[in-house]
Amino acid sequence: MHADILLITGGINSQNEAVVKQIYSQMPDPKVVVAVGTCACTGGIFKECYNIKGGVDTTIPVDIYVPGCAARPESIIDGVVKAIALFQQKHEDYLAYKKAKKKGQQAEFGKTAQKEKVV
Amino acid sequence: MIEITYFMQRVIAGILFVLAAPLIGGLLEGIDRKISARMQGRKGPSILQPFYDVAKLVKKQLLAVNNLQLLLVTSYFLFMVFTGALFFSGCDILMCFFAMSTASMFLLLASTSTHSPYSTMGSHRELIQIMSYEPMVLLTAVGFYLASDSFKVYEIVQSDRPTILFAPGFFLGFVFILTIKFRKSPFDLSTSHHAHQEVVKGVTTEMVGLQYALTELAEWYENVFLLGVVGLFFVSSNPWSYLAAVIAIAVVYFIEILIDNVSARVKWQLMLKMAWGMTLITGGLNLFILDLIR
Repeated sequence: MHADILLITGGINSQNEAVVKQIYSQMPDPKVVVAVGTCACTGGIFKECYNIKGGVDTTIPVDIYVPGCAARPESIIDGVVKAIALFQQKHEDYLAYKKAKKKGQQAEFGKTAQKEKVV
Repeated sequence: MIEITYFMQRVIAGILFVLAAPLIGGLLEGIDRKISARMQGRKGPSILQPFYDVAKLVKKQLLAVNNLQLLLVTSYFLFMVFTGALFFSGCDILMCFFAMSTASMFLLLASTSTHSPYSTMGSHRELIQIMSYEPMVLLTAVGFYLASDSFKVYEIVQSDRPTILFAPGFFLGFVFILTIKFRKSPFDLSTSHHAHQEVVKGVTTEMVGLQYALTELAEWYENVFLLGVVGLFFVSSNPWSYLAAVIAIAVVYFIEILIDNVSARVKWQLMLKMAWGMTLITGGLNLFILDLIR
């Protein structure tokens, strides 16, 4: 089984934090994360709950935020399209990174998230 | 002199298989996906999509659960290539089937080496699948022997009459277990090509990137080899028989796609009963009749 793009539709609590982290670490680079819905973006109305940590970006780097409660189908599609474009770009970056590593040059990959918002 | 050129021909056929099988296998899968999509009222991806997928997988980060898994997946791939090369260079068909079983064992070991619950469950089911189809695979080799007095593929293709005339039962049985080997519904228990099946991805659950690309490629090699066996039933010394073999392969492949799309997955008990029952009825009866008339 293999994944390139991870869509998450809920907030992070102490129960699912480890699970989300593990799933993220099981995906090979390059990878893209999309947070769908207000809960996944910020924690939403549950933000103040004692067991909620907040949005997905409190645990793993999120590239694309799709807000809305509930998120409209059109904006989810928009988010996925953006994620595919970003994945292709990351793919090229990753190949360049591997090339540089081979030559022994200093290079970095996957340290920063894109943090793009779908309106 | 003639001996040497014939030997060279066989070597060239083997090398051609190694080079061309991924292309043919990938195209077949592309066509499979397109036809399946049309049967389900979807547009479906481009026929070249499997090649894009594998190219992407190869370029991704190498993530292996453990080093053993990587070695076992590579062995699975190499043994599958070896199996097909043996077959297309005209070696012993019994040897081909044994090499194929060895390759399947490597896939099983790769899957169990990860200790993941999903892939363990997949491997249990894969074992049951192997148990279901293996009797028929061995009987098929026997069928070829009874029809042309040889296990050697290069002697079988030189026989005066095609094997199918003597072994229609063996052929039917073999086509039946092909559904299991191609991992098609209703027998896609251990892993499936469709996203909606319950056990996430079975034996290939823990394979990503390059490893997954290798299993895909191995599957393409395996499919070309198995369809080659289907073709072998129709081949004789008559050059037109090769055309008949290609048509038979196309028909069998279409029937497999059709079965895949019109049936739901069965439980392993039913699969075992059906596969062994079919083996006994088709293979056993054919064996009995051939034995009487010989």
